[in-house]
Parts: sequence; C-alpha cells; structure tokens
Amino acid sequence: MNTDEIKKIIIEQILEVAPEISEDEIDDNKNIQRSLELDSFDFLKILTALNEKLGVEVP
Amino acid sequence: MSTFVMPSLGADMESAVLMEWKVKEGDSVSKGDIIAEVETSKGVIEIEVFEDGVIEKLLVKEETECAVGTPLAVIRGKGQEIGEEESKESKIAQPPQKDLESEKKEPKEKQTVQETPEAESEQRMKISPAARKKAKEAGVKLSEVQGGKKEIHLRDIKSETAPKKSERSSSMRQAIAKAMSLSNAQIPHYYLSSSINMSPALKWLEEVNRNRAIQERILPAALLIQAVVHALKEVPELNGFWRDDALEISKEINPGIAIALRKEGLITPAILNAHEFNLDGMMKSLGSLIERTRSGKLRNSEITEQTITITNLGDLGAESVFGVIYPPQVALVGFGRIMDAPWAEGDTLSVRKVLQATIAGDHRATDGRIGGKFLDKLNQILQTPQELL
Repeated sequence: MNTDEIKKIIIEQILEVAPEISEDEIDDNKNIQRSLELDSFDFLKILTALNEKLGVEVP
Repeated sequence: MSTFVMPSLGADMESAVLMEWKVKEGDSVSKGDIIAEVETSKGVIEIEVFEDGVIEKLLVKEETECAVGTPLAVIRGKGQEIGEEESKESKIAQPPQKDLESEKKEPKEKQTVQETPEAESEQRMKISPAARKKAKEAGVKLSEVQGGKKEIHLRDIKSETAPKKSERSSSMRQAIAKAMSLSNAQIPHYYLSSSINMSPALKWLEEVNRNRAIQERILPAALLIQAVVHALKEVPELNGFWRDDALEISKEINPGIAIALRKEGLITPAILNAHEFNLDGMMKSLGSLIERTRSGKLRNSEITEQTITITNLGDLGAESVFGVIYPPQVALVGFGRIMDAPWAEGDTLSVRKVLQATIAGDHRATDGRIGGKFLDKLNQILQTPQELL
C-alpha cells in the first residue's frame, strides 16, 4: 500500500464521518480538526475506522 | 379511548410536519413505541406513544403540517370496546389542517389580488414627490409598496429597492432566537466560574484507555458529563425546572448536551436517565446521541425532557463559556478548552492541564451558594476520577 492509497482511505473516512464536508475542502497542509471543525468524537471515529481498515495501532 | 395529539417539542415549536406514520390502523402499540416521524426545525424527530393500546384511527395524512395540540390519531386503550359516540366525537374534533399542497396554492391567490389596476390604487394613496421620482427611476410599482399604507414616502421606495435578503434565516435559527430571547427576558442569570486541575483525571483516563482497543476508549467529554451527573446527585437543586413560580427538582438527571451541527445551529438533546449509567454507558450514549443528532434521528423525549444543559467547547474552543439557560431549566454548565497553565500547589508552581468550569444559574431558583457548592463538588469528583468508572 502506497501513500496515495493510504491518503485515499483517510479521506474516505473523513467524508464518512462528516458527510457535509466536500473533498476539496480537505487541505493536506492544515490541521483537519481545526479546518473542518471536527470535534473529539468525529476524530475518534476516524481513528477507529483507520484502525479497522488499515490495522494500524493508535497510541 | 384517547386522542393522540401533536406534542410540543420545545417552547419554541408551534407546528411540525407529520412525515410518516410508523403504524397503521388496527396496530397494537405499547408505551414508548415510535408511531410517527415528524419534521421540525430540529430535524426529523421520532414520536413515541404514551400509552398501551390499539390504533383506532389515523386522523392526519402524511406530509401534513399540524399545529401543536392537533389530534393525530385515536388510540383505544387495552380492553376498551369501540365506543361509537367517541369515534364520532373524534371526527368532529378534526382540526383545521393545513395541507402542504393547499399552502403552495396560497401565493397564487395573493398575486391575483395584487393585479388591480395601478392607476386606481395609486389614486387612493398619498405619494410624496420624491418617492414618485425615485420609484419611476427604480421601476418600482407604487401599488406594490407597503400594502395597507395610505402614504408613501421616499424611505418606503428605498426599502423596496434595497437588496432583499437572499435567504430567510433557517427555521432552526428562528427557534434558537426565540428560546434564547425568552431566556434572557425571563431568567435572572447568575454566573460562577472555577479553575479545575484536570491533570489527575486526564492521566487516569490515559491509563484506562491504554489497555483498551480504540473502539472502547473514553473521551474526556464523557468523563466531564459523568462528573456533572455525580455532582448533581449531591447538589440536586440545579437539576430541574422553574414552573409556577417554584423550583421543581427532577429525580431523573437528563443532561441536554449542546451538539453543534456543522452547517448551522445547534441542538441540545438529552442523555436520558444519565444517573443510571457508568462511564462506559455514558460514552456509548453520548456517541449514539451525537450520531443521531447529526443524522436527524432523535426521539421526542430526548428533545423535551432535559433537566439541565451542558455545553463543552472542546479542545479548540474558547477558554470559558457563560451560557444562556434554556427555560424551564434552571442551570447550564459550561466547559472551556483544557489548557496548559501555571498551577500553584503549596509552595510549588507547575504546569497543569487546567479547565474553566462555569455555571449559569437561575437566580429565582437558586443562589450563588448552591452554584458554588456544585462547582466545588465537581472539582472534588474530578480529583478522584476512578470513582466515576
């Protein structure tokens, strides 16, 4: 799995948690929690999904 | 036999659209079953029935706008025979319903009324020369300016030509405006604030979460709600309502949680019977509540039975918040962002995770002493968080 594929999965999960956001609002260089107004709950859901999809342990 | 009416889903609601029946005539229902979905300014709300029985008759068609109190269905209690007189009565009780379709037709009728010959209606009006000139320049029809006014001045023409607001504020904005204006007009608020050292609680939570899979982890937001519920058990005077010039303390603790909708506005649905949950239960309920709030699937009890409100600004919010109480509740607890801050303990100064906890209280119901007692309890509880588990 390369970086682009991982990025695609991350974006998919953000859109899943926050369907109101459009893909072009996601800026690679910004803190997504701040720029997309994700709260701690949204963020946990994204991390949970990434853990399930990618098998990455989240510290 | 009883009539099921459109319930009031908050002091700010006048009517709602019955979107879908979840039952049909002849179905048996028991207390708490969802019998319909209605659309309100708070989104689609599932309506529960308050008694056991059989749906005798559905009185309102789907997609009909109904005022609060409009009879929606007739429910026959268990064991009751079909009483003819009563069913007649219920037919008479049919309310003036506003059909969505007929509503759409209305504007057309209004237009035809406006098509009266211009000259004739102008004759009946006094129009200032400046207004007439401006109207001609701007192409405003004088007969369409300010219905019912006998005189037209320049300012009327100007307001007619001013750019109209492209969109009417959303109905949720209106609902919030109404409730908050009512609150500020009626409730004499008092405000108190305390700094709470959150380092012990956050460290403890980290330990708890370390041994758990990510799906089982607990967020500080849930810990704070649990701490509020525990503190309210000790200081119950802040959990309840101001009704008929008296404080009515609620046995149930149903904290309304302020949840922002990303596009616009906010809703404060309740975690019902929060006093019965342990910390894991609280985390699950909070998760489910947030998800259902954002997807528009709340139950009517969740948006009407709040006994106190909690607003948590989260890790990107302001440092502290002094809230506006949602009537008839008597208090609102606010949490700011948890920040690294200097903290003195004995002779030492160190950096700690510090939280500003605030309370807005209804001074008719309680005094600052009670609010202060609550914040002190809350602080104590958060210093020994293991008791919250």
